[in-house]
Amino acid sequence: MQTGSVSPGSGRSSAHTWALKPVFSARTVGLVILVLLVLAYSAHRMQLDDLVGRLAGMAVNAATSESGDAAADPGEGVLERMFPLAIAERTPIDRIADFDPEDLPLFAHLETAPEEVSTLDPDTLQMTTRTVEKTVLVKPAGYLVLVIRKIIETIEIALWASLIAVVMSLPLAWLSARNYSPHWLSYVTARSGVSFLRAVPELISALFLVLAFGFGPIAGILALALHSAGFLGKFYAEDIEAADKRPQEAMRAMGAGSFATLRLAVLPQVLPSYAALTLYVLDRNVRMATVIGLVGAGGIGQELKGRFDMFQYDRVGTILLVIFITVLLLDQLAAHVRRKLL
Amino acid sequence: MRTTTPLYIHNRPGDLPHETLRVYEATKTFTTGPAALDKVSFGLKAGEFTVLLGPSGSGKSTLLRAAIGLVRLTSGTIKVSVERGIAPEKRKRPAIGMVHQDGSLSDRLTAAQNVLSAMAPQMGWLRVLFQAYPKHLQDKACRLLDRVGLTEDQANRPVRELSGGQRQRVGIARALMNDPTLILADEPVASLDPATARKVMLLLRETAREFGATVLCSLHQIELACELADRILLLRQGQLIFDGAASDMSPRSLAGLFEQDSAGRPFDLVGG
Ligand SMILES: Nc1ncnc2c1ncn2[C@@H]1O[C@H](COP(=O)(O)OP(=O)(O)O)[C@@H](O)[C@H]1O
Ligand SMILES: [Mg+2]
Repeated sequence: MQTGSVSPGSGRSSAHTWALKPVFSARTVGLVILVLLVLAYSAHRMQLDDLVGRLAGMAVNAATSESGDAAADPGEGVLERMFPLAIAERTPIDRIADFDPEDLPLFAHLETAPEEVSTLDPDTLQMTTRTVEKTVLVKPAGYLVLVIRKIIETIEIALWASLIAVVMSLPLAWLSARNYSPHWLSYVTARSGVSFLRAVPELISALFLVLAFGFGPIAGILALALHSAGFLGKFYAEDIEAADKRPQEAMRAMGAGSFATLRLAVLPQVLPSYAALTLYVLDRNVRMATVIGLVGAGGIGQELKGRFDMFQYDRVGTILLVIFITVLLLDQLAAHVRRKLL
Repeated sequence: MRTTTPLYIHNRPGDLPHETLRVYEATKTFTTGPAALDKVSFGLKAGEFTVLLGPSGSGKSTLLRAAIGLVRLTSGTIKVSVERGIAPEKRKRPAIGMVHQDGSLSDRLTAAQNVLSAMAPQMGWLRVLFQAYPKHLQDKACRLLDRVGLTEDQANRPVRELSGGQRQRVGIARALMNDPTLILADEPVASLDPATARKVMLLLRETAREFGATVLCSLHQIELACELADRILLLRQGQLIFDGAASDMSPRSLAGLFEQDSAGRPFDLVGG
């Protein structure tokens, strides 16, 4: 119970001879310089210096020449070709099986549009191009509806993945919380399991799961759920470990076992934090669900990848816009729920 | 965490115990530092209200925690008698209630849920999970909360919304919930202002008397101890240096015992 080393009687020095510790020590300064050097080296390896040069070049190009050589740059024009965004769905009726012109879908109408058809002339062996009138079925918001259906599927993937992750991570958290794990072996096993789950990126596990379960949402759900369970397991466990010990001790003093103590003295404490973590995981899973769709694991990502590969950039544009609006809305929703909970 | 150091004596029905608590040469040495408890021996007669006095770090908490099994003694024994309550042989341990310092309640649970949590060790896991306690226990918790001076509204509020004094009242109700023969209290009023502290201590003494429970309560307020205690135990550096009736002692002479030997430094009034 000694309090400090300054004792009033002995060795008192006058205030103007005091030396105050500098705010930044030589070691700190040295460390900062070292970090800057490492960053400079790494930036070179990552070709970041090159990027600066290229950005400057682009700026100069844009300023000097109005029309660049479009063919030279494959990225050129993608942005222009996104507009106007594809909202309607136009299907030639000869591609629709059992088409009944008397029974059109809601809001749909028929249009006749000239279409250029190339055929091989059997006599001259030349390609000839004719213009034929074709009837197409136009659904004014057909493509938008499809994209929205896909984004709902994506959100469903994220919801299921998050739900499975929460259910999986509760026992994992219990086993990997140092002070509640029943045995050191279960602690080590659970901890490494959780780390492993977190270490495998969703995109990689999705690749394997698509092989195992085929294209579609199941692969996506499992890939996201496994990764999220690793994330939640770790942070739930750390919350349990950091929870105030005093209520837990009171429960122990009354003779309560682990379960009652966790339920009555730990859970009430960590619940707000659990809710925040779970919301974060849900938010992240919605964004990741679009990404893992790219490898065929269902949802909007799969549609996006398909359109992108077919160079249908107007549809890509629609998809990106819908994703953006969805993420924005979910963000608002999450913020609202968080405010309510905390 | 749970240890079996305290020995629980189950008396046969009708067999009145001579002592509720018997501590014999209790010694505790932590891995570092001198002995926190050094051959402490004493016994508590049934129904006594005993105050354990001592400066911060004198071993009060260690003694109380050893008596309830949170700390394993290095040597010595602690015996607790059980004499009433629901079928003692069905219990894992005798009914000991403990009132802790502030912060020992689950502060997001309501006052009533905290009081009922004392029954959780006797409940099945489903009841614990949903906090679905039998009706007669709920009624009992309500009566206890009413007894310690809370309203119905306060009983249904999360305890973090209650004042410090109200929280300690909830703590007392929780300690009384399982019909204890012995109540251990570790500086139950350390975080309260003097007036509230006195009221809460009076409540503890009154309710313990009503329930026929023996009390061992640590304090660092000498005046309060002299006013309320039937008996005072004075602990210093792990040793029992005084054991006697409060009426034989003046607060001044007790304070003298406190300050002796403390290397000229004034007694630290903040309990640890
Ligand atoms: N868990 C522990 N580990 C090590 N030393 C401890 C521990 N608990 C208490 N002590 C020491 O035991 C002594 C008595 O502490 P304590 O019983 O808390 O005193 P009091 O409650 O009277 O303030 C102190 O010197 C303290 O440092
Ligand atoms: Mg203490």
